[in-house]
This record gives sequence, C-alpha cells and structure tokens, in this order.
Amino acid sequence: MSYASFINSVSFWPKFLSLLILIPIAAFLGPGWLVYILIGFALLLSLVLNVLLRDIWKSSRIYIISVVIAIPILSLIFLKGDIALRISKAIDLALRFSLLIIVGSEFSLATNPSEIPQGLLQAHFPKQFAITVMIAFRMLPLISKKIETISQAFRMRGIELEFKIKNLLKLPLTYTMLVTPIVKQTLEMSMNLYETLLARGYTKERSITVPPFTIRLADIALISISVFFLYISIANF
Amino acid sequence: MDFILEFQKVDYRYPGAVSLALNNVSFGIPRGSITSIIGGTGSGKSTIIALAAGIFQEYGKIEQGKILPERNMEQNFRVGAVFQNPATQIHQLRVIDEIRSGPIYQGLPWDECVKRADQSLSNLLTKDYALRSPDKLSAGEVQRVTIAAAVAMDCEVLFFDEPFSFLDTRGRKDFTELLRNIQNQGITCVIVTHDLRQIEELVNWLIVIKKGKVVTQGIPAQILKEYPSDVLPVFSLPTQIKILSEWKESDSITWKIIADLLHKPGLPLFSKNTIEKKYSSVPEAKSLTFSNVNFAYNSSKIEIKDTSFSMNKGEIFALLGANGSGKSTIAKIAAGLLKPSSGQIVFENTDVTKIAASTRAKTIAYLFQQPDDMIFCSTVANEVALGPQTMKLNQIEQRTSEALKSVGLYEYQDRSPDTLSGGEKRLLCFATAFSQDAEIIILDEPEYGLDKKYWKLVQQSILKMKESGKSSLLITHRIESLPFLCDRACIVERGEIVYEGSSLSAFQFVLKKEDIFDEEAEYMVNAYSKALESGCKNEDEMVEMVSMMIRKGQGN
Repeated sequence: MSYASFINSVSFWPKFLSLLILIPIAAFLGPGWLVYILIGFALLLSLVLNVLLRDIWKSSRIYIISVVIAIPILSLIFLKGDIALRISKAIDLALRFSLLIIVGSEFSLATNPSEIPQGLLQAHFPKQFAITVMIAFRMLPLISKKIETISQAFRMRGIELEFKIKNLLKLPLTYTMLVTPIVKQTLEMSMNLYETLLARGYTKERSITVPPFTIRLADIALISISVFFLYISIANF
Repeated sequence: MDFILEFQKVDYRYPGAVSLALNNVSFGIPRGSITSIIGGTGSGKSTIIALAAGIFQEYGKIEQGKILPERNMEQNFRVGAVFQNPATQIHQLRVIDEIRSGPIYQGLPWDECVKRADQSLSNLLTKDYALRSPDKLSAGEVQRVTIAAAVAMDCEVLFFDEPFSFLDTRGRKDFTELLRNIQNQGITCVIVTHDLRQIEELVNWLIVIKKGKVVTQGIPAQILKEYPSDVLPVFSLPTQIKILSEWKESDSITWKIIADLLHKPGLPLFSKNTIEKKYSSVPEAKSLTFSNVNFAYNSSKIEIKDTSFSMNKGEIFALLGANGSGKSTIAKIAAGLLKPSSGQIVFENTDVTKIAASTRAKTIAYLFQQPDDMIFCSTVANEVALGPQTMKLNQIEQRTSEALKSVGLYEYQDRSPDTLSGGEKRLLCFATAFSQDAEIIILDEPEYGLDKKYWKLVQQSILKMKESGKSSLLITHRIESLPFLCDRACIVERGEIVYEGSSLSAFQFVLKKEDIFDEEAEYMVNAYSKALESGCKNEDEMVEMVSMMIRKGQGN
C-alpha cells in the first residue's frame, strides 16, 4: 500500500509522539465527551492521511470486535453497582480502547517501516540498534517465505503438518525437524545480509550519515492539535 | 599492464578449515576491462569476491600474500560486489534507501548521499523505483538496484557473482546492455561465473581458477587455444565449435554457418534416436491434466488464468516463461501445494487437490529451486530414506541404496548433506525423488547454480526418470538444452499459456519472441532441428558433429 498526501510528509517522530503517546493519554485521561471528539478527529485524520477507512477496519477489526465484546462482559462481572451504570462504563471503556486501536492502526498504515530505523538514528540511538531494527523488518518477509517453502517441501515428502488426531503424536517430532532447516537458513540469510552491509562499506568503527531532521508545517500542525487535546483532557481530569 | 586490483600469492583459509580455499593465487584485473573469473562449483570464485570486496577482513585470514592496492576498511567501498541471491542482497526496505546506504555508511554529507543515489537511480533504473519495496521486484530489477547501490558508492571495480543464476532469457540480454553501460561509466567489471554465453564477446580478460588455484590468465582467444578443456564449457556453442574444429578463418562461427554445414551431404547419423523416434516414443496415455485452472493469491489479483494442458506418461514437459510469469505457481498447483480457485488437476482419474499429502508424495515429487529448502536430515542416507519411511514403503534400505547409486552418491551415504557441493545437493534431491518412486517429478529451475558438469548429470537423471516411464514437468530458463532434453513445452505469460507445442517449436517461439539471437535465431532453430534429426542427444554431441564436419573439410 502506498499513500501520499500533505500529512504523509509528517516525520516519524511527530507522528509517533502524536498518535502513539499524546492522543492515547488524552483519550484515557479526558472526559467521555472528549473521547467522541477524539474518535471524530481520528477518522478525519484518516482522510487527511489518505488511509482508507476500509484498510483501518481490515487491520484492526479483530481487536476492536474483541474489545467491544470482552470489555462489557468483564465490566458486568467485575464492576459493582447499578447495571445501567456498569453498561455505560463498559461502553466508555470500549470506546477508549477502540480509539487506541484506531490511531495505532493509522500509525502503522501511514508509516513505512524504513522510517523507523531512520527515526531511531535521528534520535541518536546507536547505529547498531537502528540497523538491527531495519534488518529485522527486512528479514520478516524473507523468513515467512522460507517457512512456507520448507513446509511445502515437507508436504512433498509425505509429512503431514496439519493438526489431525492421527498426527498428534508425531507432530512434536515433525515440528522439531521443521525448525532445524528454518533456523539454519535464517542464519544463512542473516549472514548474507551482513555481507551485503559490509559490501556497502559498513564498519563498526566509522560513524554513518544521519538523515537530517527537519520540522515542517505538517509536523507542527499535528503536534499542536495533539497537545491541545492533551491540555483539554488534563484540564478536565 | 595496468592492474586496478591484484592478488599476489594469496593463501586463504576459512576459520576451522583444514585445507586452503585459495592456494598461492596470483592474478591481476586490468583497469577498465571486463574480466571474467571462471571455474567449476567450489573452485574458490566466491572467496575471491569476498576477499577483494573486503568482506572477509572480519573473519578468516589471508595467511600469505597480499591484495594490491592495499586498503584499510575505510577504503573498501572502492570495490563493489553484486551477490548471487537476489533475496538477500538488499538489506534496506526501499530501493532508494538501499542505493543511499553506501554513501551513508561512508559518512558522506546527507546532500551528497541524496545526489549520488538520485544520479545512480536515474542511470540504471528509473525514478519510479525509488519508493518501491525490494520484495516487489523481479530478480533482474534487484540486480540493477544492487548495481546502482555499488555505483553510488563511487566504486572503481564491480564484482558480479554468478549474475545469470536468477535471470531469465530476456534478463540475460538486458544484462549485456547493462554491462556496457557500467563500463562506459569508467567502472572495471569482474564477472565470476561458470557460464559466459551471451557476454563472451564483451570479456577482454579471462582468469581460470580450479580447486583454489589459478590455472591461467590472459586474453580469452589465447586461453581458448592453450587451455580448451578448462574453459570450453563456459562458452557458447559456436565458440566451442570454432575451437574444437580448429576453424582456420579469423571470423567467428555463426549459426548460419552451422546450419549450412548441417545441411551439407554426408552428415553422419549420430545415433538411432532420430527426431521422429524422439517424438513418437512418447506414449499418448495421459499422466497429469490441467483443465481450465484459475488461481489467485487474493481476490484482487488473478495469478493463473484459465490454464489447460496435459502431460503424457513418460514425457518431459517444459514450462517456459519470464521471471514472475506464473510458472512456479502452476507447478505448485500441479503438486497440490496450492489450491486452484476453479478448474481441475487430474492424475489418473483422481483430483490431485483432494489427495492427502502423504498419499500425494507417492505420486508426485517436487524438486525445489534451492536444494537446501528440501534437505532436513543429518546424513545423506537418512535424507533419501525419509520419504519412503514417511510413506511406509517397503524395502527402504534397498530403495535408498539404489537411489543413491543411480545419482552417483552411494559413497557419500554417511556424510552430512552440509558437506556436499551445490551440484551434489541437487543430485541428492533427485535421489529422494527416485526413492519415493513418484510417477511425476516437478523440477523448478534445476539448472540453478550448477556448472556444466553437474547440469549434465542432472539432465541424465531427468532422462533416467523418463526411461523408467515417469513424467517430468520442468521449469527452466536454459532454453538451449530444451530441444534435446524435453518432448513438449508450453510458454506462460502473465499467468496464461500463450503457446504449446513440441520443444523445438517452443524453442523457436521463445527465440523469436525475446529477440535474443536477432537474425541468427532462424538459423539456430534450423541447426538444432537438423542436429536432432541426425540423432544428437545433447549440445555436446551437436558440437562434436559440427566440428567433425568442419574437420572433414566439408565446411571450408
């Protein structure tokens, strides 16, 4: 998925600070009416971020549905007092958690994984840490593809990997056998990636160029709005 | 001679290894040249790249000798390297970040990093690629990104490790253009390979390496005369014919000359296996039938469209097409690993998708592109026995030893598969298929990473399957072997079969479509057709036959 809009030019740190710290704190400290405003703001933000509501729903529905079901049940069991009050509290809590999930999902959909290591470098995290994070992001799809291929190779040798009653006793041994080539090949892949790093001239000793951090209008706008919401929420706490 | 990089009596040993990986290796790479280092599997070619690019300065050590000009870690970027495997040679998450990474790791000012990356991107790719993820690129595109990254580092020498391994026929042709482009930018190119077809005319310096030692180095024409047996297999058929026939004329041998020679009277009959026999020997009984198969990984993108074809019993059937055209998807559907969204795949009146994995393996064996993906056990014998044990077949020991003998690995039965070379691992995979006694064997680019010696052994294994009445579905980019090896072929384009016919006609279709040998294509097909007619069973026999004709004086 690729998104491009004015707000998408927001740098990693303002986006991180705003969507994953300021707005969630405001959502939990603020009064109930502010939560509705924040949900409205999150939906409006999705339009500006050019993130489709459908995509947000797709990536977060499982969590939202779980929260909407689990919180009222838990509230009815554990909270004391009038049933109407308990239901109202449960709805309030469910809304706050759902908001958290929505802004988290917006952050992940509007952030390219490559922004994260760059952001870490800009925040003066050690370069080894930033590069490790980047390699981890790079490795995930490679490992997942490898696991799929190796599982297919298992099946082609007549080994069943499905959870069936007749297989249950064999499964631990089968999965142990499956792990060995996956670990071996993951190590090989990481060695290859490390060699690529070296071929690009990476050394432990030399310091590397850090992408400059520039504050843009979009950064200021997003941070200001988030701070404003936090202020209202603390003022009404 | 002005060498840009020179190895002087270098001895190198891997940590913990008993024998030397490089033994007293001395050679030079002329400045501005396109040099090729050639040698068989395990000859030490990749070790040379790693040492030249400074990758091995961190582990292992040069026991003797030196590499000139001497560099410290800070200067390693002068030598760039493009590795073999596309998946693991990009460590960043976007194309532009990968290209920028070299200047960034050199600690150059940010503006300079951006400038160099943008320039390199527009020279070797287009700006549209900047924000794309490496996972969405083809093998050829990944190769270009890696080259662009090396060029952005301002390297003087660029090493390519087996650049053709993952490239389709079109990709090979594009690579020759790319090589010219890089050379024009003043970069010395070194191609480490066991296959020089299509780029042999560009190479102006050759270094031959064997078992960690340099056999010779010099101008290709000279080496071809002095050491033909060491270098011939990596050259194209016309060059091989020229050398073997001791062609008197200074000009190269063209496919037109070869075709003319083969049409002259007195052509010997190589064996009784003439073209008519080859095709008529295929029994008509159906083995595997695809009927109107559609497949989509997700609802938005259809990968395979309305595909229908059938394989006969005892037939070698090829699936051809560019990278990403859907060949592997079709093969995996045939193996029952992917379920089609509609249509049917039938083997002897049974729907393949409805058979359990354990039963299916008795019918269909699948040889993955990379042998390491399908090797799980601690010894060679256990690996071969794994399938029969799982399927509860009888006479497991006998099956195992017979399968190992048939691929020439019987003596290695107690060894760990990790100690085998790439070619031997591929043969081990064949042994696993033999021991399963499957009726159909599916081979996904079995030529990957193999030198000519092992490719020949693999072809022999495929033919053995055919002799025992088994069918093979072969995905390959090695179209030159197609007319000899396969009976029929189909060509896949964007998930659709656009052509189906005899292997020779498919060969003709590909050559014309890809415009690979330009005006020579027609003569090439003609020559192959005539060679098949005269009973040649492989490319080597064709070379021998034409050389014989020339030597007999009928060509001049």
